Amino acid sequence: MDIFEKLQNLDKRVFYILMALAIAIPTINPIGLPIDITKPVKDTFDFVQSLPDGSQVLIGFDYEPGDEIDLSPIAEAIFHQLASKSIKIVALASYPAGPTFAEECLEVLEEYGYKYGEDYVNLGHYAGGEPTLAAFANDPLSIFARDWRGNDVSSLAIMKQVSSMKDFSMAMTLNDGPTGGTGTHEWVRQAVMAHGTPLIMGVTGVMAASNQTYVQSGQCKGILAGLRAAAEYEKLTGKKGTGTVGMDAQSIAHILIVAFVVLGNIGMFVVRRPRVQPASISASKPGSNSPSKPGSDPSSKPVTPGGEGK
Amino acid sequence: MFAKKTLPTIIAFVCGVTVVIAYFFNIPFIQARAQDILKWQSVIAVFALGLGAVNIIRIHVNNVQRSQNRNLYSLALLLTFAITILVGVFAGQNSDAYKFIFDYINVPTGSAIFSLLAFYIGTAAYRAFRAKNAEAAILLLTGCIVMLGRVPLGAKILPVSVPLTNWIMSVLNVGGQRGVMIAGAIGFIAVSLRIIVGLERRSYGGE
Repeated sequence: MDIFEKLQNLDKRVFYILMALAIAIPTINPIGLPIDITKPVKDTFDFVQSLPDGSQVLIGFDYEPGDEIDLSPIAEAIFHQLASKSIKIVALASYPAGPTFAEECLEVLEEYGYKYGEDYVNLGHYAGGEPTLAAFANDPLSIFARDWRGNDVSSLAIMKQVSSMKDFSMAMTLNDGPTGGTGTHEWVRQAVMAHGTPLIMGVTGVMAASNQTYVQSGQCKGILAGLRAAAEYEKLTGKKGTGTVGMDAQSIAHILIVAFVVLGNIGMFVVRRPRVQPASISASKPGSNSPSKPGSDPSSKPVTPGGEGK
Repeated sequence: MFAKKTLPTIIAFVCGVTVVIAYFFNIPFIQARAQDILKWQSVIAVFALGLGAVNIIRIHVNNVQRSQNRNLYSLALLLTFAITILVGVFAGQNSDAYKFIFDYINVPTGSAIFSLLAFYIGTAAYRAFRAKNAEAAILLLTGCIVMLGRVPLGAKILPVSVPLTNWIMSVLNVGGQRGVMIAGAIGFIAVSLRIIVGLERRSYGGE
């Protein structure tokens, strides 16, 4: 087996080790690769910046622990911007793990002097997905009698200013999909279509593709997709966090995958290329009685990724 | 017969029609009834969560019994399930013990499972992204451009990957996604109508 055949069938353990190193080393020892601001993130930042100072926003923590690394950095980055404008935050969650993430992310507000119950509240988890969100949108107090910390919601100063979804200057969902919780489509229907409340989304990288349609249609005012968006937002707010650190690792991991794909294809093209012998060249000249048949050379046999001929 | 077929159909019809009318028309009486139905739904959903928990316990207790205590995964699930519920109920969801379970067990295990994708998708891409024909070459090229265009280092190596990624995502991708979404929405409306008028009974256990 020559080197090009080996390139097509590298041991997956080699890839696993390289991938582990590619993620671990930049995470432990950040490189600080420069991050450019993309248009979707800038548009989202500008939209949030245009919200009235001191207004209320609704943030849905609709994700599970597996997607925390993508979405919590987005939440923290945007909380810095909201706090700089004294915007009040009402958090709720359609996943059972959501309120705990909300509690952790909302801690960043303390450095701005935010007071629980007056400037922000964590309402906790609601079951039932879209219909419950619809009920909340019509009458928030009908769904949450007590908040995540056990307080009477109707007694909280922040909730006295909210009687329906229309009272929020913006809604945002941090979302990893509709399975078990409220998805982005449901937020569009209940926040934007039913009440006209502007919506922005923080989604995992893989969900960006399916939600781009809402941005183009204007139903979603901005989309922040994955760790990259968190890193860009941190740059815009000037508060570096886990998003910026994670981008180094993600950059190198992507490059590693692309490098492996390129190497595999180089191996395939070299091995598949017919290796014509000098004798067969003369035999295949015009007028020859014994032209060489395509594929008669064993070395020209096409090889698929699994090493089988096709 | 009445309780199994007719009654669920009547409930589905009344609830479905009321909520749909309330969504499209501002009629105070209907709005109020729809809000009542939505609140009821959220209560029922909580019971569904409890039902799910009971079902998980039942299945894994059976697993343990059948394997004569050798099914370690089911044992681990039951044990962690019990500990988490007890800590949550008695110590509270904002207690240090509950946060310890969440921060040092729940989140790391969830993230670890999700992070395996980096390894499996990476090796899958390496083995599957081969330009064996024109279609495969287009897929390979698109995948590599988007992978490079989504990270800062990739954009430095191949600057053209950024505008190309934006074009792929906002033109090619959105066109396809719109088709899928519109088709899905039409199917969703059709199934919803069938449930509301009682033609679709599998959703409540019928044929």
